[in-house]
Amino acid sequence: MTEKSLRSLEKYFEKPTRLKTWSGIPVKDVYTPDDIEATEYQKDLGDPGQFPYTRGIMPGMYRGRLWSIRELTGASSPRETNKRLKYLLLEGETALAPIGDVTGNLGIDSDHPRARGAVGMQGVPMCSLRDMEILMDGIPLDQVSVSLLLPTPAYAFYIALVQNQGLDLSKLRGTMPCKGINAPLAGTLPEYLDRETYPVGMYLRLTTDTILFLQKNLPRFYALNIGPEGLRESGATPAQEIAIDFCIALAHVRDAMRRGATADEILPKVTFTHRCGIDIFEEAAKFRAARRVWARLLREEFGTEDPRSLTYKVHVVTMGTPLVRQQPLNNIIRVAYEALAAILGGVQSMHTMSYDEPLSLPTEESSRIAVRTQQILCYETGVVNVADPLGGSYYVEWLTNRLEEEITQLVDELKDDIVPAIESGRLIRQLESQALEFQREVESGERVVVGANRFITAEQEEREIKVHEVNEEAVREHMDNLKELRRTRDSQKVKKCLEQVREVVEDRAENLYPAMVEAAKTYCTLGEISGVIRMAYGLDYDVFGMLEYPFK
Amino acid sequence: MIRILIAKVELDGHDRGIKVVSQWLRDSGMEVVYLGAYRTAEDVIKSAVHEDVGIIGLSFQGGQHLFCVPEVAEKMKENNLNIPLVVGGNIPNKDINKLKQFGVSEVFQTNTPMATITERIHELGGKG
Repeated sequence: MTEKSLRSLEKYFEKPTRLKTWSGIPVKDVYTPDDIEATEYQKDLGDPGQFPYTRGIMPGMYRGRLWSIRELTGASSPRETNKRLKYLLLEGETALAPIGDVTGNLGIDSDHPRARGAVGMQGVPMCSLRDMEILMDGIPLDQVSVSLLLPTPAYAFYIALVQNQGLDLSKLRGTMPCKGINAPLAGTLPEYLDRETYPVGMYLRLTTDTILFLQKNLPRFYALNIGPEGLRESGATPAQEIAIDFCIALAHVRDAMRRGATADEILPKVTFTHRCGIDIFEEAAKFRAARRVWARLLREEFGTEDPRSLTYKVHVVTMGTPLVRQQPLNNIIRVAYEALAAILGGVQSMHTMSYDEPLSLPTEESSRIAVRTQQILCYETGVVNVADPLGGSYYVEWLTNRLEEEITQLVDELKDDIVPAIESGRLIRQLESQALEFQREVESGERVVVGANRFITAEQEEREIKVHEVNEEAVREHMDNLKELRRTRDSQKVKKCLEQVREVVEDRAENLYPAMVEAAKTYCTLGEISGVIRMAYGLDYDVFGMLEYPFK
Repeated sequence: MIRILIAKVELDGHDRGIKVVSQWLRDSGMEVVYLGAYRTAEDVIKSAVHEDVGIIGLSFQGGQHLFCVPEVAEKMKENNLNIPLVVGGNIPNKDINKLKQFGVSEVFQTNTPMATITERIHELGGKG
């Protein structure tokens, strides 16, 4: 017997030592009717599709419609990403979610001096309508739901594209998630630039304009999706994730109402992107609790009874933090458990992470396995047959109540205070200290991470996996396209359109979209449109202060 | 005492890992100058000289390490900054040797124990 095999024999009598949920809620050995004594079926649960929607937003849930398989997709160039989107559709993906690279989030074009090395790295570069045309080439946009994880000017590229294609806008489905006021919370902005460079007021305005424009022109589009940045990955607990995003959503809804919309016009457009971690019961309970809190909160705040307004609709991204570099194939199993938890929680749409995420962006093969993970769950395991299969479990109902209390308390604390809580950095500091605490538990061994702090394989036995590499030739082609675009477009028209955008934004009352869509059709770039919006707020044209406005 | 400069260079905001590492090193008694994300190679060199640190640590998440590290290493040479450079984050195995060829002393991939990182930085930073 080797020393190693003898050690594993000692585990025969091993007992679990961390008797808490993933986020740290202590749990007992068993739950009984006494633990949910105060829970009333009609008042607190209700059938699926009935207030307060704890058991699901629709009667019968997945029997009525399966969840959307929607994988975040974006790398190298619009053309490469187009190929990947089509590949995933062929493999059975049922909705699309192109995600932009970091340059777009910062409002700069691919040829900005600071963009070097970042173009196409973590998403698709999207500088103009031309890029959008390439990205969506050959994809029937009237038949597929498209979630655009892209900066605001790119929404104008999309609208310009579907208008140019002559599609009936009222039939198109998808989401324009908006970089709302939560952007500073999740590391998507340079912290040393943030406050003056990205005024919260500007984000509120852009988001509200999007909501109001879509509501009138693309009524089947969701206009507000809170949470794609993923507070959980920054260290938030499940309850904090829900509570903070609810408060952010409320701030946006109130702003839209201040601009003249009614609650029942706006609320049905609100959706969330939330993470799903690996603690199966805590995550399932979280989604159940979130539905109950959201429905009660909105009924109280806005007095509405409309189910379309009161239901918490969520796209799930399986969490990246639990994935481990060592023995990377094990991540397939981790993601499968996370996906199971989300479906037991009754979610509407899902992105499953690829097993190679701790090393690189997904390859074709790893992204197909991510899709297959959802398909196996959907078609083989039987989870879709019965709505809210965990309903009535003493433990899950207790945990749902427990999370509801925590979420409600946090919402009460934050709902009138969310903007200062974000701006002052108070929230992000709290999340950071929790991320540190998590690491302490990993280091001490209290939190077991298989392959990382227990059951370690010698590095030389680690299986080498193929990782994604950015296609440099594709990036060069994209850069050439941008150069060609600047050379061949009508600069006089471009200038006129940009001035128009700036005037409309300065006006503060008028909706930005008609002018922005016109600018898109004239092939104004994302950097230019972002720049004139910034100028209308009294800021530098260029976020890094390196470029001058080119059309003085 | 070891003084280390920590930053993320170029455009990438994924800073959970590097913030945890920075605090960990502080708690283990090092002086950490944390520059934050979205920094340039120039920012790093300027601060390293100004703060008189003994070692530099850079973190990457999105695949930009092969682009950014040579630039930082080159600028360190130009400025006669003869201190160790370490890199951490989402680094595929196949890139480790390439980074070392650029002059990187150590590469810490994700899920490297904090104890390993702390110990190695102690060894490297002690020489400077």
